[in-house]
Amino acid sequence: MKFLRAELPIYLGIIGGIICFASLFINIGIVQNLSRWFLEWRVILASFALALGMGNLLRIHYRRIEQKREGWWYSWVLLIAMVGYSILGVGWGRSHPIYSWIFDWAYSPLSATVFSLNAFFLTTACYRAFRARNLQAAVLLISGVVVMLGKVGIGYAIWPGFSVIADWLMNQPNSAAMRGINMGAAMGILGVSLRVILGLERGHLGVE
Amino acid sequence: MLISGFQVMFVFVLAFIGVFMLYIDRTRKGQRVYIRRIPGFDALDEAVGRCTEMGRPLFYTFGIGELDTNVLASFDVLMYVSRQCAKTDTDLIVGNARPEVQPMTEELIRSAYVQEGKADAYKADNVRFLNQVQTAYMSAVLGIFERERPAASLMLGPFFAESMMIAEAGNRIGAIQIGGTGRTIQIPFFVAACDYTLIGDELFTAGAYIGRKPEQVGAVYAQDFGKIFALIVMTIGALMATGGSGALRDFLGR
Repeated sequence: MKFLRAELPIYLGIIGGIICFASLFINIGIVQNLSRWFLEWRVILASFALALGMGNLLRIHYRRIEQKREGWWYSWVLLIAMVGYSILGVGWGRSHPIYSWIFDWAYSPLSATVFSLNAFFLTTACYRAFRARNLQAAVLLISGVVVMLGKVGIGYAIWPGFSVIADWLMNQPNSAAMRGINMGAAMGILGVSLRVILGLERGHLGVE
Repeated sequence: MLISGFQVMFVFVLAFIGVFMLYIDRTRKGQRVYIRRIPGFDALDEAVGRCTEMGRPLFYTFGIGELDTNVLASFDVLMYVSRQCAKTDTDLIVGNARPEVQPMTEELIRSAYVQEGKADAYKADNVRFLNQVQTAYMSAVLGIFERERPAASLMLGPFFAESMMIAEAGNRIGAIQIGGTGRTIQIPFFVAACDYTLIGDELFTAGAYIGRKPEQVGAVYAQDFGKIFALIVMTIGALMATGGSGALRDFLGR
Protein backbone atom coordinates (compact mmCIF):
# COMPACT_ATOMS: atom_id res chain seq x y z
CA MET A 1 0.00 0.00 0.00
CA LYS A 2 2.84 2.39 0.89
CA PHE A 3 4.47 1.51 -2.45
CA LEU A 4 1.28 2.47 -4.33
CA ARG A 5 0.76 5.73 -2.47
CA ALA A 6 4.29 7.04 -1.99
CA GLU A 7 6.74 5.30 -4.31
CA LEU A 8 4.86 4.39 -7.52
CA PRO A 9 3.84 8.05 -8.22
CA ILE A 10 7.50 9.06 -7.86
CA TYR A 11 8.69 6.37 -10.32
CA LEU A 12 5.94 7.29 -12.79
CA GLY A 13 6.88 10.98 -12.38
CA ILE A 14 10.55 10.22 -13.06
CA ILE A 15 9.84 8.10 -16.17
CA GLY A 16 7.16 10.42 -17.58
CA GLY A 17 9.17 13.53 -16.75
CA ILE A 18 12.37 12.35 -18.40
CA ILE A 19 10.53 11.22 -21.56
CA CYS A 20 8.51 14.44 -21.92
CA PHE A 21 11.60 16.54 -21.15
CA ALA A 22 13.69 14.62 -23.71
CA SER A 23 10.99 14.98 -26.38
CA LEU A 24 11.56 18.75 -26.36
CA PHE A 25 15.15 18.29 -27.54
CA ILE A 26 15.50 14.86 -29.13
CA ASN A 27 13.77 13.91 -32.36
CA ILE A 28 13.52 10.12 -32.06
CA GLY A 29 10.23 8.41 -32.95
CA ILE A 30 9.86 6.32 -29.79
CA VAL A 31 10.58 9.29 -27.49
CA GLN A 32 8.09 11.51 -29.32
CA ASN A 33 5.41 8.77 -29.34
CA LEU A 34 5.87 7.96 -25.65
CA SER A 35 5.72 11.67 -24.79
CA ARG A 36 2.42 12.02 -26.70
CA TRP A 37 1.11 8.92 -24.91
CA PHE A 38 1.95 10.36 -21.49
CA LEU A 39 0.33 13.70 -22.37
CA GLU A 40 -2.84 11.93 -23.58
CA TRP A 41 -2.99 10.02 -20.29
CA ARG A 42 -2.66 13.30 -18.45
CA VAL A 43 -5.86 14.55 -20.14
CA ILE A 44 -7.67 11.28 -19.38
CA LEU A 45 -6.64 11.37 -15.71
CA ALA A 46 -7.73 15.02 -15.43
CA SER A 47 -11.17 13.97 -16.75
CA PHE A 48 -11.43 11.32 -14.03
CA ALA A 49 -10.42 13.96 -11.49
CA LEU A 50 -13.42 16.06 -12.58
CA ALA A 51 -15.67 13.24 -11.40
CA LEU A 52 -13.83 13.32 -8.05
CA GLY A 53 -14.40 17.09 -7.91
CA MET A 54 -18.12 16.65 -8.54
CA GLY A 55 -18.18 13.95 -5.86
CA ASN A 56 -16.60 16.41 -3.42
CA LEU A 57 -19.25 19.04 -4.22
CA LEU A 58 -22.08 16.50 -3.84
CA ARG A 59 -20.71 15.28 -0.48
CA ILE A 60 -20.17 18.75 1.00
CA HIS A 61 -23.55 20.14 -0.08
CA TYR A 62 -25.44 16.97 0.86
CA ARG A 63 -24.04 17.34 4.39
CA ARG A 64 -25.01 21.02 4.51
CA ILE A 65 -28.58 20.07 3.62
CA GLU A 66 -28.63 17.10 5.99
CA GLN A 67 -27.37 19.17 8.95
CA LYS A 68 -29.54 22.18 8.00
CA ARG A 69 -26.55 24.53 8.22
CA GLU A 70 -26.99 28.26 7.58
CA GLY A 71 -28.06 28.87 3.97
CA TRP A 72 -28.64 25.15 3.40
CA TRP A 73 -31.25 25.77 0.73
CA TYR A 74 -28.57 27.40 -1.48
CA SER A 75 -27.00 23.97 -1.57
CA TRP A 76 -30.24 22.62 -3.06
CA VAL A 77 -29.98 25.26 -5.81
CA LEU A 78 -26.39 24.22 -6.54
CA LEU A 79 -27.14 20.48 -6.58
CA ILE A 80 -30.25 20.82 -8.77
CA ALA A 81 -28.40 23.09 -11.21
CA MET A 82 -25.32 20.85 -11.36
CA VAL A 83 -27.12 17.51 -11.68
CA GLY A 84 -29.96 18.83 -13.84
CA TYR A 85 -27.69 20.61 -16.33
CA SER A 86 -25.37 17.57 -16.50
CA ILE A 87 -28.32 15.26 -17.29
CA LEU A 88 -29.59 17.71 -19.90
CA GLY A 89 -26.18 17.97 -21.57
CA VAL A 90 -25.35 14.26 -21.51
CA GLY A 91 -28.90 13.08 -22.34
CA TRP A 92 -29.96 15.52 -25.05
CA GLY A 93 -26.68 17.07 -26.17
CA ARG A 94 -25.30 20.57 -26.03
CA SER A 95 -27.31 21.71 -29.05
CA HIS A 96 -30.64 21.13 -27.28
CA PRO A 97 -32.59 24.45 -27.20
CA ILE A 98 -33.15 24.37 -23.41
CA TYR A 99 -29.46 23.66 -22.81
CA SER A 100 -28.47 26.59 -25.08
CA TRP A 101 -31.12 28.86 -23.56
CA ILE A 102 -29.81 28.27 -20.01
CA PHE A 103 -26.25 28.86 -21.20
CA ASP A 104 -27.04 32.04 -23.14
CA TRP A 105 -29.56 33.64 -20.77
CA ALA A 106 -28.49 32.46 -17.32
CA TYR A 107 -24.86 31.35 -17.29
CA SER A 108 -23.37 33.97 -19.66
CA PRO A 109 -25.00 37.06 -18.05
CA LEU A 110 -24.17 35.80 -14.54
CA SER A 111 -20.59 35.16 -15.59
CA ALA A 112 -20.25 38.59 -17.20
CA THR A 113 -21.76 40.24 -14.10
CA VAL A 114 -19.25 38.60 -11.76
CA PHE A 115 -16.33 39.43 -14.03
CA SER A 116 -17.42 43.06 -14.34
CA LEU A 117 -17.08 43.38 -10.54
CA ASN A 118 -13.33 43.28 -11.20
CA ALA A 119 -13.47 46.91 -12.34
CA PHE A 120 -14.68 48.02 -8.88
CA PHE A 121 -12.19 45.83 -7.01
CA LEU A 122 -9.42 47.19 -9.25
CA THR A 123 -10.43 50.78 -8.52
CA THR A 124 -10.35 50.36 -4.73
CA ALA A 125 -7.01 48.51 -4.92
CA CYS A 126 -5.54 51.29 -7.12
CA TYR A 127 -6.80 53.92 -4.69
CA ARG A 128 -4.85 52.31 -1.85
CA ALA A 129 -1.75 51.50 -3.90
CA PHE A 130 -1.53 54.95 -5.48
CA ARG A 131 -1.60 56.98 -2.26
CA ALA A 132 1.67 58.94 -2.19
CA ARG A 133 2.84 57.87 1.29
CA ASN A 134 6.54 57.80 0.39
CA LEU A 135 8.83 58.44 -2.56
CA GLN A 136 8.31 55.00 -4.14
CA ALA A 137 4.51 55.28 -3.89
CA ALA A 138 4.72 58.80 -5.37
CA VAL A 139 6.71 57.47 -8.36
CA LEU A 140 4.10 54.70 -8.76
CA LEU A 141 1.28 57.25 -8.61
CA ILE A 142 2.82 59.56 -11.22
CA SER A 143 3.75 56.66 -13.55
CA GLY A 144 0.28 55.13 -13.18
CA VAL A 145 -1.53 58.40 -13.92
CA VAL A 146 0.68 59.12 -16.96
CA VAL A 147 0.17 55.59 -18.36
CA MET A 148 -3.61 55.82 -17.81
CA LEU A 149 -3.76 59.21 -19.55
CA GLY A 150 -1.51 57.96 -22.32
CA LYS A 151 -3.81 55.02 -23.09
CA VAL A 152 -7.10 56.95 -23.38
CA GLY A 153 -8.28 59.49 -25.92
CA ILE A 154 -8.83 62.29 -23.43
CA GLY A 155 -5.17 62.09 -22.38
CA TYR A 156 -4.06 62.60 -25.98
CA ALA A 157 -6.50 65.51 -26.30
CA ILE A 158 -5.02 67.19 -23.20
CA TRP A 159 -1.41 66.71 -24.30
CA PRO A 160 -0.13 64.35 -27.04
CA GLY A 161 3.09 63.82 -25.07
CA PHE A 162 1.23 61.60 -22.56
CA SER A 163 1.01 58.72 -25.04
CA VAL A 164 4.73 59.05 -25.92
CA ILE A 165 5.76 58.96 -22.23
CA ALA A 166 3.30 56.12 -21.52
CA ASP A 167 4.75 54.04 -24.37
CA TRP A 168 8.28 54.71 -23.14
CA LEU A 169 7.35 53.70 -19.56
CA MET A 170 5.74 50.47 -20.79
CA ASN A 171 8.42 49.54 -23.32
CA GLN A 172 11.58 50.50 -21.41
CA PRO A 173 11.54 50.37 -17.56
CA ASN A 174 8.42 48.16 -17.33
CA SER A 175 9.65 45.63 -19.91
CA ALA A 176 13.13 45.51 -18.37
CA ALA A 177 11.75 44.78 -14.88
CA MET A 178 9.24 42.22 -16.17
CA ARG A 179 11.92 40.38 -18.16
CA GLY A 180 14.20 40.29 -15.11
CA ILE A 181 11.42 38.79 -12.98
CA ASN A 182 10.51 36.36 -15.79
CA MET A 183 14.12 35.22 -16.04
CA GLY A 184 14.19 34.46 -12.31
CA ALA A 185 10.83 32.69 -12.49
CA ALA A 186 12.04 30.59 -15.45
CA MET A 187 15.04 29.40 -13.41
CA GLY A 188 12.72 28.63 -10.50
CA ILE A 189 10.43 26.61 -12.77
CA LEU A 190 13.42 24.70 -14.14
CA GLY A 191 14.63 23.99 -10.58
CA VAL A 192 11.24 22.70 -9.37
CA SER A 193 10.77 20.63 -12.55
CA LEU A 194 14.16 18.98 -12.12
CA ARG A 195 13.47 18.21 -8.47
CA VAL A 196 10.18 16.50 -9.44
CA ILE A 197 11.70 14.67 -12.43
CA LEU A 198 14.62 13.42 -10.35
CA GLY A 199 12.29 12.34 -7.54
CA LEU A 200 13.79 14.81 -5.05
CA GLU A 201 10.56 16.77 -4.58
CA ARG A 202 7.93 14.79 -2.69
CA GLY A 203 5.92 17.52 -0.99
CA HIS A 204 3.02 17.08 -3.44
CA LEU A 205 2.60 13.48 -2.28
CA GLY A 206 2.32 14.50 1.35
CA VAL A 207 5.72 12.88 2.02
CA GLU A 208 8.30 14.76 4.09
CA MET B 1 18.89 13.77 -33.63
CA LEU B 2 18.72 17.05 -31.68
CA ILE B 3 15.85 19.30 -32.71
CA SER B 4 17.04 22.36 -34.61
CA GLY B 5 16.73 25.61 -32.64
CA PHE B 6 17.02 23.81 -29.29
CA GLN B 7 20.62 22.55 -29.45
CA VAL B 8 22.23 25.32 -27.40
CA MET B 9 19.34 25.26 -24.95
CA PHE B 10 19.88 21.50 -24.53
CA VAL B 11 23.54 22.10 -23.63
CA PHE B 12 22.50 24.83 -21.18
CA VAL B 13 19.96 22.52 -19.50
CA LEU B 14 22.61 19.78 -19.18
CA ALA B 15 25.01 22.29 -17.59
CA PHE B 16 22.23 23.41 -15.25
CA ILE B 17 21.59 19.81 -14.20
CA GLY B 18 25.35 19.40 -13.55
CA VAL B 19 25.49 22.46 -11.29
CA PHE B 20 22.23 21.37 -9.67
CA MET B 21 23.65 17.94 -8.73
CA LEU B 22 26.96 19.49 -7.61
CA TYR B 23 25.28 21.88 -5.16
CA ILE B 24 22.93 19.18 -3.87
CA ASP B 25 25.97 17.00 -3.17
CA ARG B 26 27.75 19.88 -1.39
CA THR B 27 24.76 20.77 0.80
CA ARG B 28 24.24 17.10 1.64
CA LYS B 29 27.84 16.95 2.80
CA GLY B 30 27.07 19.76 5.23
CA GLN B 31 28.21 22.89 3.42
CA ARG B 32 26.63 25.89 5.13
CA VAL B 33 24.34 27.84 2.86
CA TYR B 34 22.78 31.26 3.01
CA ILE B 35 19.30 32.07 1.78
CA ARG B 36 18.19 35.68 2.13
CA ARG B 37 15.13 36.50 4.21
CA ILE B 38 11.82 36.31 2.39
CA PRO B 39 9.20 38.23 4.43
CA GLY B 40 6.31 36.42 2.72
CA PHE B 41 7.44 33.07 4.16
CA ASP B 42 8.34 34.57 7.54
CA ALA B 43 4.75 35.85 7.77
CA LEU B 44 3.24 32.35 7.51
CA ASP B 45 3.45 31.81 11.27
CA GLU B 46 1.98 35.28 11.83
CA ALA B 47 -0.96 34.38 9.55
CA VAL B 48 -1.66 31.09 11.34
CA GLY B 49 -1.22 32.76 14.75
CA ARG B 50 -3.69 35.48 13.86
CA CYS B 51 -6.30 32.89 12.85
CA THR B 52 -5.72 30.99 16.10
CA GLU B 53 -6.08 34.12 18.24
CA MET B 54 -9.22 35.28 16.45
CA GLY B 55 -10.75 31.79 16.31
CA ARG B 56 -11.30 32.16 12.58
CA PRO B 57 -10.19 29.92 9.70
CA LEU B 58 -7.24 30.30 7.35
CA PHE B 59 -8.08 30.24 3.65
CA TYR B 60 -5.69 28.79 1.08
CA THR B 61 -6.07 28.68 -2.70
CA PHE B 62 -3.94 27.96 -5.78
CA GLY B 63 -5.84 30.02 -8.40
CA ILE B 64 -7.43 28.62 -11.54
CA GLY B 65 -4.24 27.61 -13.37
CA GLU B 66 -3.62 23.96 -14.12
CA LEU B 67 -1.35 21.67 -12.11
CA ASP B 68 2.08 23.11 -12.89
CA THR B 69 5.31 24.04 -11.09
CA ASN B 70 3.53 26.94 -9.31
CA VAL B 71 1.17 24.45 -7.68
CA LEU B 72 3.96 21.97 -6.89
CA ALA B 73 5.96 24.75 -5.16
CA SER B 74 2.82 25.89 -3.36
CA PHE B 75 2.29 22.37 -1.98
CA ASP B 76 5.42 22.86 0.17
CA VAL B 77 3.83 25.93 1.75
CA LEU B 78 0.48 24.17 2.15
CA MET B 79 2.18 21.25 3.90
CA TYR B 80 3.83 23.63 6.38
CA VAL B 81 0.66 25.65 6.95
CA SER B 82 -1.42 22.47 7.40
CA ARG B 83 0.97 21.23 10.09
CA GLN B 84 0.88 24.60 11.87
CA CYS B 85 -2.93 24.63 11.70
CA ALA B 86 -3.04 21.07 13.04
CA LYS B 87 -0.72 22.00 15.92
CA THR B 88 -2.78 25.05 16.90
CA ASP B 89 -6.24 23.57 16.21
CA THR B 90 -6.93 26.22 13.58
CA ASP B 91 -9.44 25.53 10.82
CA LEU B 92 -7.87 25.41 7.34
CA ILE B 93 -10.15 25.92 4.33
CA VAL B 94 -8.74 25.13 0.89
CA GLY B 95 -10.60 26.20 -2.26
CA ASN B 96 -9.55 24.35 -5.42
CA ALA B 97 -10.40 25.36 -8.95
CA ARG B 98 -8.76 22.39 -10.69
CA PRO B 99 -10.18 18.91 -10.18
CA GLU B 100 -6.76 17.23 -10.61
CA VAL B 101 -5.40 19.26 -7.68
CA GLN B 102 -8.29 18.24 -5.38
CA PRO B 103 -7.25 14.64 -4.53
CA MET B 104 -3.61 15.70 -4.08
CA THR B 105 -4.62 18.50 -1.72
CA GLU B 106 -6.85 16.19 0.32
CA GLU B 107 -4.06 13.63 0.65
CA LEU B 108 -1.44 16.24 1.55
CA ILE B 109 -3.50 17.88 4.30
CA ARG B 110 -4.64 14.56 5.73
CA SER B 111 -0.99 13.47 5.81
CA ALA B 112 0.01 16.71 7.62
CA TYR B 113 -2.64 16.14 10.29
CA VAL B 114 -1.53 12.51 10.72
CA GLN B 115 2.11 13.59 11.07
CA GLU B 116 1.08 15.99 13.85
CA GLY B 117 -0.89 13.23 15.58
CA LYS B 118 -4.19 15.03 14.95
CA ALA B 119 -5.79 12.71 12.38
CA ASP B 120 -9.21 13.15 13.99
CA ALA B 121 -9.04 16.94 13.64
CA TYR B 122 -8.82 16.73 9.82
CA LYS B 123 -12.02 18.08 8.28
CA ALA B 124 -12.60 16.67 4.79
CA ASP B 125 -15.38 19.20 4.15
CA ASN B 126 -12.88 22.05 4.44
CA VAL B 127 -10.96 20.91 1.34
CA ARG B 128 -13.37 22.05 -1.32
CA PHE B 129 -13.53 21.75 -5.07
CA LEU B 130 -15.13 25.02 -6.16
CA ASN B 131 -15.17 25.25 -9.94
CA GLN B 132 -12.71 25.44 -12.80
CA VAL B 133 -14.70 28.21 -14.50
CA GLN B 134 -13.06 31.47 -13.46
CA THR B 135 -16.18 33.48 -12.59
CA ALA B 136 -17.83 30.62 -10.71
CA TYR B 137 -14.59 30.06 -8.77
CA MET B 138 -14.36 33.78 -7.91
CA SER B 139 -18.00 33.80 -6.71
CA ALA B 140 -17.36 30.73 -4.55
CA VAL B 141 -14.29 32.31 -2.93
CA LEU B 142 -16.15 35.58 -2.30
CA GLY B 143 -18.94 33.55 -0.70
CA ILE B 144 -16.47 31.78 1.62
CA PHE B 145 -14.97 35.15 2.59
CA GLU B 146 -18.36 36.66 3.43
CA ARG B 147 -19.77 33.62 5.26
CA GLU B 148 -16.74 32.23 7.09
CA ARG B 149 -14.62 35.40 7.45
CA PRO B 150 -11.13 33.86 7.36
CA ALA B 151 -8.53 35.85 9.32
CA ALA B 152 -5.81 35.01 6.78
CA SER B 153 -5.82 34.32 3.07
CA LEU B 154 -2.93 32.64 1.27
CA MET B 155 -2.96 32.81 -2.52
CA LEU B 156 -0.02 30.90 -3.90
CA GLY B 157 -0.10 29.34 -7.35
CA PRO B 158 -0.88 30.01 -11.00
CA PHE B 159 -3.29 32.96 -10.85
CA PHE B 160 -5.08 34.68 -13.69
CA ALA B 161 -7.58 37.60 -13.55
CA GLU B 162 -9.11 36.21 -10.34
CA SER B 163 -6.05 37.44 -8.39
CA MET B 164 -7.33 41.02 -8.12
CA MET B 165 -10.85 40.15 -7.00
CA ILE B 166 -9.83 37.54 -4.42
CA ALA B 167 -7.04 39.68 -2.97
CA GLU B 168 -9.23 42.78 -2.74
CA ALA B 169 -12.15 40.83 -1.23
CA GLY B 170 -9.74 39.43 1.37
CA ASN B 171 -8.56 42.94 2.12
CA ARG B 172 -12.16 44.07 2.65
CA ILE B 173 -12.76 41.47 5.37
CA GLY B 174 -9.48 42.43 7.07
CA ALA B 175 -7.62 39.18 6.42
CA ILE B 176 -3.83 39.14 6.51
CA GLN B 177 -2.87 38.19 2.97
CA ILE B 178 0.12 36.55 1.32
CA GLY B 179 0.10 36.31 -2.46
CA GLY B 180 2.62 34.72 -4.78
CA THR B 181 2.78 33.49 -8.34
CA GLY B 182 5.28 32.77 -11.09
CA ARG B 183 2.90 34.50 -13.54
CA THR B 184 4.57 37.89 -13.65
CA ILE B 185 1.59 39.75 -15.07
CA GLN B 186 -0.48 39.08 -11.92
CA ILE B 187 2.16 40.29 -9.45
CA PRO B 188 1.10 44.00 -9.50
CA PHE B 189 -2.39 43.01 -8.33
CA PHE B 190 -0.99 41.10 -5.37
CA VAL B 191 1.37 43.99 -4.55
CA ALA B 192 -1.60 46.38 -4.52
CA ALA B 193 -3.88 44.28 -2.32
CA CYS B 194 -1.76 41.87 -0.23
CA ASP B 195 0.29 42.39 2.93
CA TYR B 196 3.13 40.24 1.56
CA THR B 197 3.92 39.25 -2.02
CA LEU B 198 6.25 36.54 -3.30
CA ILE B 199 7.71 37.89 -6.53
CA GLY B 200 9.00 35.80 -9.43
CA ASP B 201 11.13 32.87 -8.32
CA GLU B 202 10.51 33.43 -4.58
CA LEU B 203 7.55 31.04 -4.65
CA PHE B 204 9.77 28.33 -6.13
CA THR B 205 12.15 28.54 -3.18
CA ALA B 206 9.37 27.61 -0.74
CA GLY B 207 10.65 24.09 -0.07
CA ALA B 208 14.23 25.30 0.48
CA TYR B 209 13.25 28.22 2.68
CA ILE B 210 10.76 26.37 4.85
CA GLY B 211 12.18 22.84 4.87
CA ARG B 212 15.93 23.61 4.46
CA LYS B 213 16.41 20.21 2.86
CA PRO B 214 19.78 19.82 1.06
CA GLU B 215 18.28 18.92 -2.33
CA GLN B 216 16.00 21.95 -2.23
CA VAL B 217 18.66 24.37 -0.99
CA GLY B 218 21.04 23.04 -3.65
CA ALA B 219 18.41 23.72 -6.30
CA VAL B 220 18.16 27.36 -5.20
CA TYR B 221 21.94 27.72 -5.58
CA ALA B 222 21.73 26.21 -9.08
CA GLN B 223 18.95 28.69 -9.92
CA ASP B 224 21.24 31.55 -8.92
CA PHE B 225 23.97 30.10 -11.14
CA GLY B 226 21.48 30.09 -14.03
CA LYS B 227 20.48 33.69 -13.36
CA ILE B 228 24.10 34.89 -13.24
CA PHE B 229 24.87 33.01 -16.47
CA ALA B 230 21.78 34.49 -18.18
CA LEU B 231 22.74 37.99 -16.99
CA ILE B 232 26.26 37.64 -18.44
CA VAL B 233 24.93 36.32 -21.77
CA MET B 234 22.35 39.13 -21.98
CA THR B 235 24.96 41.80 -21.23
CA ILE B 236 27.36 40.44 -23.86
CA GLY B 237 24.48 40.06 -26.33
CA ALA B 238 23.28 43.63 -25.72
CA LEU B 239 26.82 45.00 -26.24
CA MET B 240 27.29 42.94 -29.41
CA ALA B 241 23.88 43.98 -30.78
CA THR B 242 24.70 47.63 -30.03
CA GLY B 243 27.94 47.16 -31.98
CA GLY B 244 25.97 45.72 -34.91
CA SER B 245 26.83 42.04 -34.46
CA GLY B 246 24.12 39.37 -34.31
CA ALA B 247 26.57 36.47 -33.87
CA LEU B 248 25.52 35.60 -30.30
CA ARG B 249 21.83 35.74 -31.20
CA ASP B 250 22.43 33.41 -34.17
CA PHE B 251 24.48 31.04 -31.99
CA LEU B 252 21.78 30.84 -29.28
CA GLY B 253 19.13 30.20 -31.93
CA ARG B 254 20.81 27.02 -33.15
